[in-house]
Amino acid sequence: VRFLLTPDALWLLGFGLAPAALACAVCTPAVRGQSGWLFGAAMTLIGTLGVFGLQDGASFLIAWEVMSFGGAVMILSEKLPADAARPVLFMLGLLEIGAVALVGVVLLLGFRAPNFDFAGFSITAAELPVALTILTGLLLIIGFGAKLGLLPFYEWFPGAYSSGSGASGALLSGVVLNAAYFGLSRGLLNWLPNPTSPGVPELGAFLLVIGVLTAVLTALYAFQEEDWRSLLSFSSAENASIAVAMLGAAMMFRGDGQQDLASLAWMVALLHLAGHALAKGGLFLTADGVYRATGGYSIFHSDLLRRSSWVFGVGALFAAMSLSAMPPQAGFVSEWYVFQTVFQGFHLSTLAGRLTMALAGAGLALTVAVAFATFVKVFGIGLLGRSTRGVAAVSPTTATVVGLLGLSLLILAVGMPAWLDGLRVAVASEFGTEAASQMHDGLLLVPLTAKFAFISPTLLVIVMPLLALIPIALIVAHRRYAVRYAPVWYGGFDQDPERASTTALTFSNAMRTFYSFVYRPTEVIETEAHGPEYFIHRLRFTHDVAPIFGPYLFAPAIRTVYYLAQKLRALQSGHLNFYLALIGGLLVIILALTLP
Amino acid sequence: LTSDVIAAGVIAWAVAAITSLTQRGLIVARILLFAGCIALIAAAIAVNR
Repeated sequence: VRFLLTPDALWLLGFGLAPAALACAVCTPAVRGQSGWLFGAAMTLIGTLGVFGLQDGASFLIAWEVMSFGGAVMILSEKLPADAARPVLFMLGLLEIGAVALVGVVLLLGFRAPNFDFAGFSITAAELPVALTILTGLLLIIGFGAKLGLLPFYEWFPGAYSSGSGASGALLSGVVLNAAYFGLSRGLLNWLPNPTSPGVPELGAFLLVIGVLTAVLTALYAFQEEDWRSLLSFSSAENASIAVAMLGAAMMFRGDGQQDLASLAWMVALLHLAGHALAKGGLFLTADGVYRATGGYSIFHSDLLRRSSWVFGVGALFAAMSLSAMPPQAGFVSEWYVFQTVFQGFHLSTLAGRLTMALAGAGLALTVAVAFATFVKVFGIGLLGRSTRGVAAVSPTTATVVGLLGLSLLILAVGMPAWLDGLRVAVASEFGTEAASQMHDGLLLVPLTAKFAFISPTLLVIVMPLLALIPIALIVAHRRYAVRYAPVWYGGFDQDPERASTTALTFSNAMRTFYSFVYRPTEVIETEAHGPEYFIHRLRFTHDVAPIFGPYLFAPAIRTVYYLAQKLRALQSGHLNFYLALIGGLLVIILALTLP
Repeated sequence: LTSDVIAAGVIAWAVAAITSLTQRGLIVARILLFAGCIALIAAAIAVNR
């Protein structure tokens, strides 16, 4: 068995392992099932390493399954909700669809070769007709897209993630997501034939469109969530989709002969996933801190920011800033590069390509705006929101790991010129260009040329505190005016800031109304009254947003499986003679197939 | 040296998987999982430099 970790694999693995290491050190907050969780985490990590490093189809598929199995073991052993089995089974079902697609790819590309070694895949692919090339590409997108959460597969994310802890989420959204992206990138760029061959650039355009559509939908759904884990899970699918969209852009540029721009898009995806793994790990571990302090994962006014260590607050703030693309964090840098790459679409020679890039830019702009609002909601309500309830502070251990991940995000952003040099070998071996060194001009970050645009998070870190001197000076200058405190009008009711404050539901109400054609929200109010209906004893309010693919795609598929299972039960009749007849029939078929 | 570090990390994870199955080995498993991750991060930095 051949094992090789390429520089891009090590990049994605390294950044994915940083939150994984801290999640393993902190362990799951579930009281029971730590043993099973640690076993699942070990399986996940071993499987992930196999996905990154194994170089033949058969062992790769085994590693892929071990990785999925480890994730399911982690979630199931935690037993956080009583009914975790159903969403995990749904996850495994969709992941198996992906696994079958990957088996199809391995068979298609390895069938004519002497063995299943990846080195022979590209040689086989070069001889494939266009239809089979496109089929291989689509199977790769389905196979890895099931794990990355490309549409329609993202619908397993909220159920499965919210059945586990934040520690499980830190592994699944970090190193596992990176491994799935690496597999897709390797398959589409290295296994498919010549990038200019018919069908290959079109696959890139398809991937760009799917990536952007998924990013828009998952960003919209993330905004409506009120559970830390399901919100963050949708956000993971969104960020993976942005990286996938960049991979599609890389394929389009490469198909057009623009190697420099292709390598820019490819590197941007790697930068984005690196920052995402750190930030998402930080927020998933923040969610575990919330669980340990409040006993649940709901986003509500917990007053945790004021009660906990400042290290926790700074770490969570940096992570939220990065995921909402606020300067100077790593997420800001990578999303700035994402837009710079899409803006370079005018270099493409075809009108369709240019138009696709322009529309992708518009879709990504919507995604980023919604993501910004989402993390304002998470941080503003989930951590900053004041409360008079007696909630415990986040433990010093959680505060330290969240703080470390937040700090690592800042280090990634500030040291970006140096980090880019770390990708020089990877991009040179993949595209044969020097794009890594062209992406920065000293401390300035540039999209290959300084004439188009530039930013510098390194300098921003120095300038931003200097800008803070202006409001400080204004405060100092106006100190002679006494501050007057007056009660706030509460609509005639008693003063109760907690009751009057914005909840997670009301925060997202405007978007829920405006995009009701996507969300199709439902609200049910049930009242119970003793005697006349005016004297309400209990009021039960439930609300939800409808999934897009669940009722139309997955529910009929599940019904079909149940129907087939019921019909096939006839085979399990319990009669020995019937089983012997079946075996006899199979022997006759085998003989008929082999004897001629 | 890098391949040795990677191999050490994998062995640490495999041993962690085994020790996690016993109640007394939970702390050992946590330490080994953490150490394996750190070893591989170190290898990643060494190669990409």
